[in-house]
Amino acid sequence: MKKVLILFIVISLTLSGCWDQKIFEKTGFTLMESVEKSKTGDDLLITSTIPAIGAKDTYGIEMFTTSADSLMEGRENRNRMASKRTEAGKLQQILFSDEIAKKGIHNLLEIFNRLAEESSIAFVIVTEGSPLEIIQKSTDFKDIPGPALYISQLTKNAVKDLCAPNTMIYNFNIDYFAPGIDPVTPLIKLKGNHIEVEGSALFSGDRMVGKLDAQKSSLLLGMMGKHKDKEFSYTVPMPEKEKTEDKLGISMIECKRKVDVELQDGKPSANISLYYEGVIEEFKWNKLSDIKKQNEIQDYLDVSIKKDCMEIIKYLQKVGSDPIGIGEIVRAKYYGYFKNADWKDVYKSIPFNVDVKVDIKQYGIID
Amino acid sequence: MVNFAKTGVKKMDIGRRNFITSKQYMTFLISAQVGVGAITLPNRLAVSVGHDGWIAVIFGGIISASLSTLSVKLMERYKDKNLFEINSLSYGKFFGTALNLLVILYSFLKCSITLGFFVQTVHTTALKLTPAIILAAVLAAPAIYLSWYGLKPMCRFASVIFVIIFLEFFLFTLRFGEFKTVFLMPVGIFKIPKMARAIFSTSYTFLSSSILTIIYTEITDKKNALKYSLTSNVITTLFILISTAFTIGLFGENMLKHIIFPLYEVATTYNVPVLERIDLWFLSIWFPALSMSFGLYFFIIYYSIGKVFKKTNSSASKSSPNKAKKSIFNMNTVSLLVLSIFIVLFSIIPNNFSDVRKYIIILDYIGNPLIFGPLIFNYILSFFKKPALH
Repeated sequence: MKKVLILFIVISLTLSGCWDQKIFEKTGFTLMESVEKSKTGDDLLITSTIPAIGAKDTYGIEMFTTSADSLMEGRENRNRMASKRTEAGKLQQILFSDEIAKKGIHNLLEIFNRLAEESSIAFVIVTEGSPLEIIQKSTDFKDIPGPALYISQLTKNAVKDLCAPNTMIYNFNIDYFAPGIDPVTPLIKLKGNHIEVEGSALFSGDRMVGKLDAQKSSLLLGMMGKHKDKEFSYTVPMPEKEKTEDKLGISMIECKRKVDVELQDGKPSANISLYYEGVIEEFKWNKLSDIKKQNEIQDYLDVSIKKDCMEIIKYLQKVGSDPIGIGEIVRAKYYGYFKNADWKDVYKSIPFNVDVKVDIKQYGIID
Repeated sequence: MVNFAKTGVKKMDIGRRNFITSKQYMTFLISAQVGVGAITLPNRLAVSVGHDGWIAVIFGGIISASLSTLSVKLMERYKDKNLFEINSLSYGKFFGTALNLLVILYSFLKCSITLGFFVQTVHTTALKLTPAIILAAVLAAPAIYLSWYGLKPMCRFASVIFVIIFLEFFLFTLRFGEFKTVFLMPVGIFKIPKMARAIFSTSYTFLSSSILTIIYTEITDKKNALKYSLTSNVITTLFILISTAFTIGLFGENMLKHIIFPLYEVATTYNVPVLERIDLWFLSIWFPALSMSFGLYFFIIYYSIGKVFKKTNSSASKSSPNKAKKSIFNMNTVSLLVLSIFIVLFSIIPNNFSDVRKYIIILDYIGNPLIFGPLIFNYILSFFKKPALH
C-alpha cells in the first residue's frame, strides 16, 4: 500500500498542472479591451492594452487594434501580434463605443461569463465617441500609470463620488436578465486633453437609450438605493431671496430611500421617498446658525432635488429605461398584472411622485 | 455495538478503525451532502421552479429527515445487522442478494459520477487542459487513502466542512449589499408538477441520508444516532436553503438558470482590494467538501465489498489466524485498488458537465425507488418477520 501511495504522490507532483502551466513572465495580462464599429461598419474594431514590462518607456504598454467579427476572434488576432500569450483574467474594464452600445452589448459580454478564467469584475464603460481615440490620447499622458489603470482609477473615483454607477460585467448581466430592471453604466468621453467621466449611460435591455450627466447620475443612484458609504456634491443656484448668482453646494453624506408601488384601478403608480443628510460646503458669507434660515435652505433643497428627480424620471420614462427597478417591484407585488402587461409600454406612462427631505447636519466652520 | 468476543480478534482490528460516534457520522454526512449538493443545486432548482427553488430545498430536507428517521427506526429493530443482511432476511437469499448487488452497483455509479462531477468542476473552472484521467486519479487519491484507514479518519477529515460553511457565510455577508429581496418574490407561484421535479432533483444530495443503514453497526453510541442524524439533516438543509435563497437574491432567477456553479459564481463577483479575484481561493477551499462527497460513496462500496468477503475471512481466521490476517490485508488492498481503478475509469466517461448532469438525473430516477422502496418494505416486514430478527 505504501508503494502505491508513493506512486500516487509522485504522479501528483510530477504530472498534474503541467498541461495548464502558465508562466507569469510569459503571460501578457490584458488590462483593457474596447469594442467599436470598424470604419467600414461591417465588423468590430477591437483594441486591447497589456502592460509592457521591461519596455524602454517605464509606463509602456503594448496596444493592439484589430478588426474581427467577435471578441474571441479579436483576441486570437491579438495573440498573433503580441510578444506574450495574453490572458484577460485581470481585465480592469471593457469600453464600448456609444454607437455599439446603442445596438446592444449583451452578447459581447457572454465570453466573460462562459469562461471561468475571464474576469466578471471588470467595469463595463460606454464611451462617447471612439474608445480607440480615448486610449490613444491617454497614452500621451506621461504622468499616469498607463491608460488601463488610469481609466480604472478614474471610474473608481467617479463611483466613489456617485458620479457614475458601479457597473461591472456581472452587474450588467444581472440587471439585463431581471425582467423589471435595466442596466446603467458609467459614461466617459474625451474632453480636450483629458478624459472625463460624463455620468451614466442608460440602457433598455442591452441597448443604450440615453445618458445622464454626473449630478443627475448621483440623484439617480440615490433613487436606485446605491447611495451607501459614499457622498456626492449637489450644486444648485442660490435661492432667489439671496439675490446673488453664486451657487449653493451641499455634500450629501447619506441617503435613505423607500419605493412604494400601488396598483389602483389596474394601473400602477410609484412613490419614491428620499431622505438625505448633508453638509453645507458652499454658500456665502452669511450667518447660517439661524434656525429659520436653516429651515429655508432645507426646504429650498427639498424642492430643488425633487424637481431634478422628477426630471430624471420623466427622461427615464421617455427613453424607456428602468434602472430603479420599478418593474421588479411590480413583478414581486403584483405578479399577475406584470405577467399580462407589456411592462416596457406601461412603464412609460405610470404616474410617479418623489418626496424629498433634506436634513442638513453640518454648516461648516465659519459663521 | 459489535460483539468482539463472538467475532474474533481480526474483526476487532478491522472494525476499530471504522468505529465512529453519532457526532462523527453527522459531520461525515454534512460534508458529503454539502460538497456536491450546494455547489450546483441552486441552478437546477432555478431551472425547475425559478425563484421558488428554496421551497424545494425545505421539502427535500423534510424528506431527508424522514429517510433518516426511517433508517434509524429500521436499524433499531434489527440491532447488529446492516442493510445487506436485512435485505437477505426480508427477501430471501436470492432476491436479497440481487437487491444488495443493485445497491452496490448504484453506489458504484453514484461514486463514479460524483468523481466525474468533481473532475468536470475542476476541468471547467481551473485546469481545462489537464487530461481527465489524471485529474480523476489525483482528485480521488485523498478519499481512497482515507478509505484505506477507515471511517474514523474520514470523519475526522470531514470536520473541515464547518470551516468551509463558515467561509461561505462570510462570503455571503460580504456580498449581502447586492442582495435583492424582490428577486425572491412573489413567493409560491410554482406549479406542482414542476415543484415535484425540483424536489426530486434534491435527492442527489439528500438520498445519502440512507447510508446509515449500511454503517449503523459501526456507530458506537447508537442511542444518539437519530438525534445526530436529524441534526445533520437540519444543518445541511439550512446551509443549502440559505445558499439557494442567497444566490437567487443575488443573481435573480433568470441569470441563475445560466450559472452552473452558483456558489463559485458568488466568489467571482467579489472584488477584493489588491488580490482582486478570489474565485480560485474559493474553489480550493471547496475541494475537501467535494472530496468528501466522493469519499462517502467510495467508502460505502469499499466497506460493502469488505462485508461480502467477511464470511470467508472469518472462517479462515478460525483455522489459521495468522494466515487470515495476511488474507484480510491482501483482500482489502486488492479490492481497494481494483475499485479505485474502475471508479476512476468510469468517472471520465462523462465528457463535460452537461453529461454529468444527464447522468445525475438518470441516477436520481434509479436511486429514489431503489433506496426508498426496500427501506419502507423492510420496515413493514420487520413487524411480520420478528422471529428472524437477531
